[in-house]
This record gives sequence, C-alpha cells and structure tokens, in this order.
Amino acid sequence: MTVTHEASPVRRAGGPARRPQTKRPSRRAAETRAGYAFLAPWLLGFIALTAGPMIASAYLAFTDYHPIRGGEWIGTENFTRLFDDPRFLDSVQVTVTYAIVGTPIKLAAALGVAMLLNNRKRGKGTYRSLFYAPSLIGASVSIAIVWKAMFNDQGIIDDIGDYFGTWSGGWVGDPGRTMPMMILLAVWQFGAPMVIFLAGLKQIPNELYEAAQVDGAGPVRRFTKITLPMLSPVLFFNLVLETINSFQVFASAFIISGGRGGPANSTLFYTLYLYQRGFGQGQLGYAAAMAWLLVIVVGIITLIFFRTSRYWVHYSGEGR
Amino acid sequence: MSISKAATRGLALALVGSLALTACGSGDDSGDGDGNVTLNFTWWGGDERAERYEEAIDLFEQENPGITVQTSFAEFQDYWTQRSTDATSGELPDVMQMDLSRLLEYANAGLLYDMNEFTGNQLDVSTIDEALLASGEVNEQLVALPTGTNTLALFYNPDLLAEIGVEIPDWDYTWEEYQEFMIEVTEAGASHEPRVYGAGDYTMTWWFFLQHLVQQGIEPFSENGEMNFTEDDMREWIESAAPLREPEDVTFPASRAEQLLPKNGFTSGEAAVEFHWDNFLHSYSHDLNSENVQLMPMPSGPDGEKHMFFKPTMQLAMGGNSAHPEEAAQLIDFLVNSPEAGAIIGTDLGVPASQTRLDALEVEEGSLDQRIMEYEQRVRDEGHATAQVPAHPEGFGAVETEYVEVLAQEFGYRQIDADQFVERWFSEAANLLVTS
Repeated sequence: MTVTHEASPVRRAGGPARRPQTKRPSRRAAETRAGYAFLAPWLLGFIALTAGPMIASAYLAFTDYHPIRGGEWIGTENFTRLFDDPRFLDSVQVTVTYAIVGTPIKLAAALGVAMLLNNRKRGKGTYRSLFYAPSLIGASVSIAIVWKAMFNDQGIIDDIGDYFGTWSGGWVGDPGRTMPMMILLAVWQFGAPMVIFLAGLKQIPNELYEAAQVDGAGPVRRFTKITLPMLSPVLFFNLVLETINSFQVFASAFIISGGRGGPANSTLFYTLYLYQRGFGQGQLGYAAAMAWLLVIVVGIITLIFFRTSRYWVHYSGEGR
Repeated sequence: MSISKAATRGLALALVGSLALTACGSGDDSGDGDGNVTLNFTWWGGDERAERYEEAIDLFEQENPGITVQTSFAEFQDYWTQRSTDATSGELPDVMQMDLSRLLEYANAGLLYDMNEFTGNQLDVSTIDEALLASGEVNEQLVALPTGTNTLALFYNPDLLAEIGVEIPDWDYTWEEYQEFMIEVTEAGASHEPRVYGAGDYTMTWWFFLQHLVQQGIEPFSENGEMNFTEDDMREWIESAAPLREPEDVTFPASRAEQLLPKNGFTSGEAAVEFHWDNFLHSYSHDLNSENVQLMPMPSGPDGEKHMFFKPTMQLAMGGNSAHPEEAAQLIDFLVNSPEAGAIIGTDLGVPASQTRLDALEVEEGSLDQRIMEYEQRVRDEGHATAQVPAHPEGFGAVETEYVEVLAQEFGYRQIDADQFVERWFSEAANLLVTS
C-alpha cells in the first residue's frame, strides 16, 4: 500500500526528479518481472498442459479426428451421435448412480468419523492419521487390484458371505454388485472430507452446546439444530468437491474392469468410456465431444449447488 | 531486493535444469556418438512370449555389440492403444509386432518404413514363401514381414474329458455335432468340482463368424473394404447356436469368465475345449499348467469341407520415424531368419515363415512345437485349407473389438438379443470401417 502512495503523482510533482524517484519505477519493474518469473512455471504449465489442450479438444469435438487417419470438420454430428449410443447412455447411468448414491454415503461416513474423532481423548492424533490412511493409498492401482481380489469369487468377502449364508459367488462378475463394490471403495477413502469436517467442527463454539444442554436438548437435537447449521459452509464445500470428483472417477474402474468397463457395462464410468472411444478406438473427436459435455454438465450442477446454497448454507457472519 | 534476486536466480536455474532434463529425455535415441545404437522393440503377448523374446534379444545383443535393444510388451488391446498414441506423436518403436488387422491403418498413413531398401542386404526375404511375403506389402512397399503362419484350431483338454467321460468328436465333425458335444460335456461336467462346461459361446468370436462365412462361400470383405455379408448373415450365425442357450444355457457363464480374467474357462480347467489360433497352444499350455493340450480343426461347413486358411500369425514392422532403420532391419532379419532365434522362439509366433528357420528348427518328439507343426501339416495334407485369408480392410481391428469385446459381453450377460447385437454392430461398423 505504501508503495502506491509514495509513487503517487502528487508526491512526484512536488519537486525536481530525485534519484530515488527515478529508481523507484525500475525497482517496481524488477519486482513485476520477478513476479512473472515466479508465475512462469505455473503459467507455462497452464498454457501448455491445460489451456492449449482444452482449446484443441474443443476443436476436435466438431471433427471426426482419428490419431492415425486424421479427420475433418463434421459439425455437431458427434453430439447428436452420442444420444443414439446405448453405451453412452449406460455410462451416464453408471456415473450418475455413483455420484448420487456414493457422494452422500461418503460424506456421511466422513462426518460420522470426524465427530467421533472430535474430542480430547488420548492418542487422537494417531487415530486421525489412521483414518486418513485409506485416502492416501485408496486411489492407487494396487488397492484397486486388492479390491478386485477381495470381491472375487472365493475372495474374502465371498467367504464371509458364505459363512453368514447371505451372498455367494463373487461380486466382480455380477453386474448387479459391481456398483456397491465401487461405492464401497470410494466411501472407504473418506479421509479428505473428514479432515475438513474436523476443522469445521472445531470452529463451532462449545458454549452453543452447553447452552442447548442446559435447555434440555438431546444429542439428536443438538446435531440437527447446532452442528449441521454451523457446519453447513463446510458441508457445502465438501459436497461440491466430492460431487465433481465422483463424476471423474477413472483409475479404480479402469483397473477393476481391466479397462473394459465390464461386466456388461456395469463399471463403464463416463471417463472410462471416453477413454475407450478416444484411445481404444481412435475416435478422438467423439471423445472430445464427450469431454466437453461432461465439463458443461458438471458446470451446471455446480451452478445449481451455488444457487440453492443460500437456502441451506448459513455463514456465521451473515445478517450482522 | 536481494532476496528477490536470489530467488529469481534460483528460479532461472530450476527452469534451465528442468529444460535440460526434458532434453535428456528425448535425446536418448540418437546414439551416443561412439557407435552405440539403441533400438526400441515392442510386442503384445504374455509372460511366456516375453521370456522367449528376451532370451533371443540377449543373443542378438551379444552378436551385435554396438546395438542395445530396449523391450516392452503389453496385452493386445492395450498394445494398440499405446501404438496409436505413439503414431500421433511420431514416436513409433523402431521394431514392433504388427497384425494384419491393423496393417492398412498404419501403412496407408505412411507410418511404416519401406523395408525394400534393405532386402538382399540386412534383410533376407528369399527364405519366405512369396504369397506369404505379399501379405506384408502395401502400396508397393514392403512394410511388414511375417513371423510365421497359423490357422484356427479347436483346443481340447483330454485329461478333463477323460475325467468326466466324454469323447471328443472325429475330425470330420460338423457344427451341429460340435453343439451336441458341448451339451454333452456341460451335462457330464455338472457334478465335477469345479463345475465343467463345454466352452464359451463360439458365435461370439469374430473369426469364427468369418470362418463360417467362408464356409458358406461368402468372402467377408472386398479388397476396397466393402462388406459382402448382410445383417441377416450375422443374425443367422448367432441364432444357429440357439440350442446351446435354450432351453438350458450350456455355454460357459459370462460372470464366471469375467472373474477368471486374465485367464479363461479353458486355461482354468473349467471348460473342456476352446477355439483359438493354433500358436496359442504355448500360452494355453503354460496357463493351464499342462502339456497335454491337443488340437483339431474347425467343424465342417454345409458342403462337408472345412475351408480353413493359413494366416500370417503376426508380422514385424519398423516405425517410419526410426532413426536407425539399418539396425532395425538387422533385428527383424535375426528374429525372422536366424536358426538360433528360431530355436528359442519355436512356434510361439506361428510355424516359422522363413525356410531357414523352419529347417533349423529341431522339434522334440511330443513337444508343443511338434504338435503345432504336425497339426498344420495334417490340415494341409488332408486338404482342409482351401481358402484364402479373408481381406483385412482398414478398420478391421476396430470392428473386431466391437464384436468380441463390447457386444459379445452384453450378449453373454443376456442384456441384448441377437437382433440388437446385429443392429449395433452394423451401426458401429459404418463409422469404423474405411472403404476406398
């Protein structure tokens, strides 16, 4: 702030140019240069690895581009073809189911564990780390392989099911059971939202609970009337983030189904189908159209979240 | 200011450093200036094939001290995903396995090296049968060399069949007799632990559909890529196996097959027979962990003939962008022609295309190599191979994938019927096949 003030024309007009004044602009220019230099790695990365490919992909979406044959401008044909493609509709169904069912369960698990860990018991740091651990390894390739082995026929889950006489046969080969399996894998990685919830819970003043307790409010009432409203900004943040993430799930489905999206398209997530079309079949134009459709739809969903947030998200500074 | 200066310098240094690192990354294939050359060689296949190739490459490197070969391999579908990415960035490997189903796609785009300039020098092609050699010629360029030949076969597991007490049909069996056999095996295998089936639904394999068309006197594709079969042909073919699905489904269950991946029913000892290319005897025997896997030909068509054909098993090609084409040609010559490489590779890449390698191949009595060679010999001698390899138009690989990977799975889970299968295949094929 002071820099701006010193460099103001009022001051400069006050007398003949002095040495410090001539130096100042160059000093500022140097600072600007340094600023851009610091920005450069990110800026270069953004232009070369994000913005450039995005523009290219927007162009490809209107062509029938093939990595080997090249392609021509075909207008909006890719987009119209999408809605006649049964596998595209399958992939939308799979992804939407995953997002609608998986996201709330994952958030509920994260909030539940965060509340359990939000106390002053001994060793809470250790517990927090332990509960966060699955999120560190959950996205890895090896876990997806282990997951597949666990849910396979004669895998450990099948053995447990047999013991209780509930399930038999593996989950991996049954199109009706692969979705619960994928959702379990996602829910198990509740670490990131849990940490954010924990931070949010710590912000809630204890006096509120004490006052409520004095007034005779039970645990359920305290949760619905104090915890949830006070936590709603954090909940909103997690909800938006996790929803966007769930639309982009790829690696786990790719590993578990061997890149095929099987059995019977039950793990054919949107991004996996996009990959199959673009890189498996070389229909890069079609894949680019899918990618842009995803961007648009996720954008709309996020917008809806933000528009509706004023009805249920309470910021503590509001109304003052 | 001094802080900013130091930081700027540090940043500049980091940038220069990272640029230098990227430069190293892309500069490794241009040779070290002391005569050392590094070739990239890649193939599709399993562990078993990898062991053979690695051993042969070691030998090649010993004989050619100036050449280092960097190898990599992948499963068939992934292999082609990787190659199409390579092709886009102009970084195809110096030497790679090629398949007829993808050859035109790569050759027509000018992505493969014309090996004609090396023939007679680094590359001896006089050892290869002319018709077979011609399979690697596109637009008057020699873009691929065949490693060997193969033909379709019915693999069967005699030990398993003996256990459940079912006999394999004779060589002159028909498709109907094959179906009766499948029903018989599945019934007899029901009490076996684990449960034994005949085989998967054979109509769900692209190549048997083509073999069936050829038996009907239909040449599947014209040279220019036109389809010579109709939706009705495909529907009739799929429905011809209806007795295997109704009233009782005796085909290997799709859900079980999914769980056994990357193995299949046959290599897990849960299916008694399976059709495949005969050179798969090596990997099938390896996966099943049994030497006792036997071969017999395809069922006969309506005229009592089999109309089988010999196909180049696979080919070796050079990336058009190769910086060391001479050395790459040397490597291909070694793999295709040299008796030493032949002794290691055996018939895993098909019965050797090269006469020198074939002559030098010493097969042990009762070995897998001998079994494949004997099978092909008998198919030739008994006159079962009367057809030409069906033409492989551009996009052949993609329509095959649509058939066997996508639609066959949905059909296997009974999510689509024969009509939907046919309708969807034809609508995709319109986008995938390239006609000229």
